[in-house]
Amino acid sequence: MMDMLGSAVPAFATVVHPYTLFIIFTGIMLGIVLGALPGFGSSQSLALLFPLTFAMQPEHAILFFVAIYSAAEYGGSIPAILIRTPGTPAQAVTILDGYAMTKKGLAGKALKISLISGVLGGIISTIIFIVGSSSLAQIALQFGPGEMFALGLFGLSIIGTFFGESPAKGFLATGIGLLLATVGSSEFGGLRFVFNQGFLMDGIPLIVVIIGVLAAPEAFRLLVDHRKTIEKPIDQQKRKELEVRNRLTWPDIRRLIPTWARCSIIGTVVGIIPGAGASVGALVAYNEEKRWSKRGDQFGSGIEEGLAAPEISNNSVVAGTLVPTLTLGIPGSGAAAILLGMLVSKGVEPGPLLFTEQPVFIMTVFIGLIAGNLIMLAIGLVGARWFAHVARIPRRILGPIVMILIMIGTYAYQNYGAHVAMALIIGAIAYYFERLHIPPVPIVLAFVMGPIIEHNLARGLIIHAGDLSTVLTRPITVTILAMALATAVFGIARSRKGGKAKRG
Amino acid sequence: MADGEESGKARQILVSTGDLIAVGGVLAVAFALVVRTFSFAPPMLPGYPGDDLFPRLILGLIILCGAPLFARRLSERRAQARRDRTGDDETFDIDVGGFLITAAIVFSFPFLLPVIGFEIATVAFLTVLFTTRLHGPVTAEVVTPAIIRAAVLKSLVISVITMLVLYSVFVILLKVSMPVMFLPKYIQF
Repeated sequence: MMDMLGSAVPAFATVVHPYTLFIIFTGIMLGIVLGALPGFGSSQSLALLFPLTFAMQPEHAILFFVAIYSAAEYGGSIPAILIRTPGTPAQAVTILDGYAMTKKGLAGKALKISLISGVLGGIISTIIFIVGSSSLAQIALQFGPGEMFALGLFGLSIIGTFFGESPAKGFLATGIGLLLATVGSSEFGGLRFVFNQGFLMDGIPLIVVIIGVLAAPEAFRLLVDHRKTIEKPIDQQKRKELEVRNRLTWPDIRRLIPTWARCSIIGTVVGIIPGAGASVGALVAYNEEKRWSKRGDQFGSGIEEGLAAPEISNNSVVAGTLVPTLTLGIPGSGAAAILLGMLVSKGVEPGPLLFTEQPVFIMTVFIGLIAGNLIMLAIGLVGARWFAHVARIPRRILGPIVMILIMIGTYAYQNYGAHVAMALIIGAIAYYFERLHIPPVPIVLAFVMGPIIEHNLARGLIIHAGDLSTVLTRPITVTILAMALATAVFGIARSRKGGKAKRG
Repeated sequence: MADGEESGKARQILVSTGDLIAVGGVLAVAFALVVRTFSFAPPMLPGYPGDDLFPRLILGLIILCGAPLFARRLSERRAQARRDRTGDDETFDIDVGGFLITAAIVFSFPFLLPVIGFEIATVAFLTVLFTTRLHGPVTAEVVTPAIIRAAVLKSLVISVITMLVLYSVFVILLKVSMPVMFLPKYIQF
């Protein structure tokens, strides 16, 4: 670590060079725009912009990629907050309080909280990375198939019990998400639930599930329920009141400090676990914050903590993901895999020796991450004002625009009309399910986590010839499984208590 | 945000009825898929996982959660049928006709896209939807051919502009391959 701190000066000089700042600025702008578009998450954005790095030096290329990655996570929260259309899977949780704040007329405030939370998440996790990257990497090494399976079950226990009005409906939605993830080729070489349809051979794409479950029902709602809605014009006094309410005040910031502190650590820790990803980070952070916050019972109704928790966590995951990627050469997410591929193509070999042999390169990445987040803060504060105007578009006009955008975005994935049709069918069913309080978010999150859980369950069974007891009794695994059980029991008890109170 | 008035021929449906239909449907699909799993290839070695393990675990979870919920709703419905409806039973509104018409328009887009091209499909889709939305509610007495012409023209202009923006972003900037018919002849980089 002392070597790295000694490399700070030349690294700083590299980052503040006008060309480097231009690269970072361009990466941030592209990342925000692409992250905001349905169909373009961080992985797709990086894949799309990979050719631009061919002529860049390794340090510029990685700074460009890291800027895009961070900005895409923030960019995805803009449509999630404004029109309930997440740009990336991690924003499935952002929708809960983010969109609720927009419905209360607080879109501007929500965007500012999302931005500041994202920037703080990036900076805090970078500092943690600088201080403890090699120790954190050792923790990541302890996570084998049993631990990953247990983490997946923990995630499912959160999903099932904390979303929706009843755990039964929550777990039902979770099961639907897990089932959708099994469609297509399995890792054992067989085909499952394809019914001889060619478009199902590769499974149901994530974009189809995200759009179908989260965005399409909202588009249907805007088109059907608000076909003739005429918003009353806002008078001058109400407009001034809204302007005041949309300001982020010092009491708001003071109230958010504990949330930011807790959830940035959660996001960084989740990020270092290979395969977990920003959606798991956002989910765990939201759950924990709901438990710890004084206003936990108001989560989902549009409160600041409910938005700040997933937002700071999913940006903390970015730096956390770099830990196993750079220290061990193990990509922590799809986006990290692309980043790893880019580094190898530039002749940079990730691994423990990278820190001792190229300390200036590593410090350049860290300082570049911090600089990128500060640039994103400046861009976002200016942009938030304009983005918030989207919330003022009359709902009857917004409906067709949202629907065409999500259909084009889904089609853009693989130019397949069948994907658009699937997303619309899922959307129509989800529109009906929402009326019955069957929550949609668990479907998306379970869909993301299903392959992680199945893959690690299968690995554990194969490694131990069908005997899971050895795997499931490891200390970290037992701890996480106990947390999963406690979460499920606590959630069911809380739901029963709420039901009795309602009947009483 | 100020709230406006909503109108439409919404139908009131009991949540318990809706739950029975939804959960019953999910359970029926789950049971059918359990049967389907018996046609999957067996695992390579005894004791090893195969294609069927994880799907059966998930279908078991769905049946475990869905069956008690279905049974509870069924007994609630029977209790509701035995007593006079007091109006306290939870209901939800759904505009079935409006939804079906909207769904028909929306579902036509992915099918028309490769046939008539991105430009015409997008403009047609948006024009149809905007025409009935730009002016808000109008009564039969107020609707005249002149109003209809103005609404269609305004919708057409907005739709063309929206289509051009989408073309610029997705086709030109992001190089997404769309079934375009004639725009590349006039606009390209």
